[in-house]
Amino acid sequence: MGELEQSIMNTLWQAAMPLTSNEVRDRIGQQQKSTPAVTTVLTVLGRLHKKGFVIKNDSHRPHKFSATMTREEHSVQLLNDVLGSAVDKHAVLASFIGSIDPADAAKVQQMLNSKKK
Amino acid sequence: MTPYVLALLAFVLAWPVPIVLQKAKWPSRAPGAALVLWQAVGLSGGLSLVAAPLCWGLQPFGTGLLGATRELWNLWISQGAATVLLDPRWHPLGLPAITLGLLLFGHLSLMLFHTTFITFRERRRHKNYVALLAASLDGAQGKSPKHRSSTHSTLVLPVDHLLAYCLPGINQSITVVSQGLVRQLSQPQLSAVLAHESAHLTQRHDLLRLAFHAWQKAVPWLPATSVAVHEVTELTEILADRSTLVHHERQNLIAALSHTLLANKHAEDASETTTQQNHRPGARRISCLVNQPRPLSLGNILVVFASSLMLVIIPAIISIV
Repeated sequence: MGELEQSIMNTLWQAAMPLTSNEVRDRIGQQQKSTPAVTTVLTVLGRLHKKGFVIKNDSHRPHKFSATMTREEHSVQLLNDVLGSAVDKHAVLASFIGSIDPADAAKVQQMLNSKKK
Repeated sequence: MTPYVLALLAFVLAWPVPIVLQKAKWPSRAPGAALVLWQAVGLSGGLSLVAAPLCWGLQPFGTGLLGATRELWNLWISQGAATVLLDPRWHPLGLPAITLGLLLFGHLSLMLFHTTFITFRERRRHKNYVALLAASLDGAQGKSPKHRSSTHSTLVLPVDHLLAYCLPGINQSITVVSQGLVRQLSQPQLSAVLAHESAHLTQRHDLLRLAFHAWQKAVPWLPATSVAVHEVTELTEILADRSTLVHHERQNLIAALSHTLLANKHAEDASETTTQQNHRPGARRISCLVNQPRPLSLGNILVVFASSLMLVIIPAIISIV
């Protein structure tokens, strides 16, 4: 199901305009070997809507869907979580560099070089 | 005597002990034992803090919480709540003291639940972001996807930053790396990174850290709680490094760390963000990786474990009995 979520978001990002569920399904079908059922697409769109990634315009039928933010904005949010200065960062995710001060990068490199000799 | 001993213990564990532990050299030589001791310090500190005012308030009714509560319970059953509250044995500050103890217990428990809830919610939010942008590692490396564990997957983000981190979950955990990292590191270096993150997940370091984050949220004005969070985080990193070095070369792990730190340094310089810690964070971990301190002797490790046990058992016994 994660792959279909990605496909749907990619379709909406590429289109950069509101699409109906049928249009989303057709565009996915053009790019992939198999075309998902429109009911499946609607279910996943509903899930994406609940997660806050998709806006539904139901002012007239057929309902149209669009992404709440661009792929770039999406990336920025993600990077902010990882690289930003949020206090709870270490509680939420375990980064490889942990709490090592990036300013110590040169020091680590130096130690690595001296150990090689 | 008991309430004063408990209050003193709570004070000592809240202030001087964490500072001393932070400065000590031996935790680098026995990170697992040090983590056990930190947990004992946290647990014992919390228990003593709650038990001290409770014991003080209940003193007129018996020795220890068990005896006093039984006495009050019998009184309640036989003569009703009003008699209990108006009993002449109460010290004027007795009921306020008990209220304080119960409030402290409530505050600590609620903060633990609240922090757990918020952390899981933030993780889920971040996982949703990752799920939409990332591809599987095999796909990104041009390999055909091999069977992957249903509980742990590795995903690649299409960004140039050098990123490597893991998102623990109840059923599904993920390790996240970036395209930039995959391009920059050699295969052995990348494997070392993945092994490090995998160690965090299998050893459930997230749960250890969660308790201390909650403790810090509950008592943020106490410097010791920030010290504890930092030390525990660093000790879990050292443990993950140790697990990695069982199957991977030290050079590869250090090189991967160096590359990632350098890239992050450039990112930090560019964005002008600054860390707010007073001491050099990560110094213990770097020292362990490069200097390889000799392990603590078994005898000393047993002393640490025994001390940890005593730290928790003694206040529990003297307050209850």
